[in-house]
Amino acid sequence: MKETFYEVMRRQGITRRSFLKYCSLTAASLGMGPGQAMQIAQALETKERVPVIWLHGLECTCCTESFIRAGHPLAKDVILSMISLDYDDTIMAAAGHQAEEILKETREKYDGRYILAVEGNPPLADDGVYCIPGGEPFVDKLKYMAAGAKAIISWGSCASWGCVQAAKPNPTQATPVHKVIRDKPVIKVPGCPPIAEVMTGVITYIVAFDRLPELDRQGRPKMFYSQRIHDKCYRRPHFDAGQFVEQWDDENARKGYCLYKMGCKGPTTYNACSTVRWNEGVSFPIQSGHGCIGCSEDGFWDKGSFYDRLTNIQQFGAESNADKVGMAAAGVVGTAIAAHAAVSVIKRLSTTSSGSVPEKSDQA
Amino acid sequence: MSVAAGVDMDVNATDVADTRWEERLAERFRQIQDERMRDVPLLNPALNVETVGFTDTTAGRLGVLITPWFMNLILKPQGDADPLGMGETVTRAFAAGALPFTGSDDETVGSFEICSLFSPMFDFEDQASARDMASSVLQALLHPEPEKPVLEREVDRRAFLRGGFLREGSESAGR
Repeated sequence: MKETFYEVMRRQGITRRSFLKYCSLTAASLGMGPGQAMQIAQALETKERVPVIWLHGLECTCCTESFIRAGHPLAKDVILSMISLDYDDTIMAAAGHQAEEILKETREKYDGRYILAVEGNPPLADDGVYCIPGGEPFVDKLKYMAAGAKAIISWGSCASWGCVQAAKPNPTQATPVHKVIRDKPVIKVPGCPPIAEVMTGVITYIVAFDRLPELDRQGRPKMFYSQRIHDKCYRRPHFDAGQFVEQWDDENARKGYCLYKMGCKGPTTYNACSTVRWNEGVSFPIQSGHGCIGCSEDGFWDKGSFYDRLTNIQQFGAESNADKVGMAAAGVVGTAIAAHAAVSVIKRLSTTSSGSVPEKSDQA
Repeated sequence: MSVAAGVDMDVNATDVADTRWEERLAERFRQIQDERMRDVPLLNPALNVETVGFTDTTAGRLGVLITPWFMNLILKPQGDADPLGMGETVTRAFAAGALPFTGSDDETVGSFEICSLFSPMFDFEDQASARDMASSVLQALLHPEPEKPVLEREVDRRAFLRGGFLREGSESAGR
C-alpha cells in the first residue's frame, strides 16, 4: 500500500483543517488563487509521497535554520513530515551507519522518483578531501544520490553559486552543484539563507504538481526571483527623490531614507525579501536600517565590501535582468519590440505572478 | 494590502486644473536631478526628465515619468480618499493585471503613487527608446491585446510543412 503525503501528515498529527490552511497559504505565497489551493490539497491527498533527500556539503546550516522556522508553523510541520522520514543529517533521528543506509535504500526503492535537496557544495580539490560526511567525500555522495534523483534543488547561495567557501582564492575548489551534476534539472534557490516561505513554496510546488516551477535563465524559480529588491522596496520613493542616508544613524537614517549611499545592493539583487520579508513577514534588512548585501547574487563575496557604493550597475549581476534583451533591442529595433517588452514588464510586476505583497510598509 | 477598485480610462474627466500637475512633477524632478542626484553615479547621461502619456483614469491621473535614474508609472489619485503614506503599498487593478503601487510624498507636488518599471536606466540608449517604452507600457496596461486564441485543431504534417501554423486562425492547409 503506497502512502500519500496526506496520510503521512495525518499520521504526524496534522489536522485536516490545518492541512487545508497550509494549502491555501502555500498557494498564496506562490501567487496562485483559491482554486489552485484545492489543486495542491488534492494532489497531496492522492499522490504517492515522493521522498526528499536533503544532503549537506560545505555549508553553515543557515538554510536548514531558515527552513525549520518557516513563517507559519504549519509549513514546517507539513514539509518536515514529508522529508524527515528519509534523510536530513541535521534533523533526522537516525545516526551513523543506520542513517547512511537510508540513502542507499531510497536510491534503490525510489530510483528516478525522489527529489534531492542539496545544502552547501562539494569541494573538489584533493579528491574532495575537504568535506567527508559519513566517511566519504561529499562529492561522491552527491553524485551517487543525484544519479537516481528526479530533480535537484540547490538550497542557498552555497549550492547555487558557491558562496563564501568559493570566494577567491577558493582553496578547497568549492563548486556549485550545477557544475558537478550536469545531467539532471537543477533548481537554484539562492540566498544566504533563502527565505523560509520561498523554500517551502518551491518544495511544495514540486511535490504537489509533480513538475518544476518556471525558471529564469539562471535556473531560479521566477515566482520568487523575478523581481529586484529595489523595485519593491518601501524606501524606493526616497531613492527616486534623491533622499539618501549619508552616514549611519544620521538624521536621514532616522527618517528612513534610501540606503544606496551606504552600499545597499538592492538595485542589483533579485529576491523576494522586500515582498515576502522575513520572520513571518515582520521585516527585512532594509526595513531594519541596513542595506541589502546582495546575498542571493552570484559571487557576492567577491564584489567588494558590503558598504561599497554601487557605481557600475553591470558589475553585480544586472545581466540577469530578464528584460534586458527586450530593452536593448528596443533601442535598436523600435516600437514593435518595445511593445513586446512592455507586456513582459507588466507581467513581471503583476502581483499575481510573484510572491505576496505585504499589507503595509512602515518606515523604520 | 488593500486592493483598490479597478482602474479604467475616465472619458468624462474634466478636471483641467490637474492636467498641469505632471508639468510641475517634471519640473520638480529636474530640480532633484540638478541638486540631490548631482553626484550619484546611477544616472544615464543620454536621458532627460520627461512625462509621458498622462491621462485621466477612474483612480486619478496616470502616466509615466522618465528620469535618468528611473522610469515609473505615476498615479496622482483624485477624490477624497486619504493618500497613501510614504512607503505604504496598494494593489491597483488594470485591464492587463494588478500592479503594486507605493505611496510617495513631496513638499512641492504633494502625494502620489509610484510603480517602478526600470531603475537604473543604463539599458536605454536614448530618450526616444525610453519614450517608446513608456508609451508601450501604458498601452499594454490600459488597452491590452486579447490573448491569441489557441488553435483547436492540430496542424497536420502536410499543413506544417506548408507553413499552415503561421496563418493565424486559418484552416489547416492540405485537409
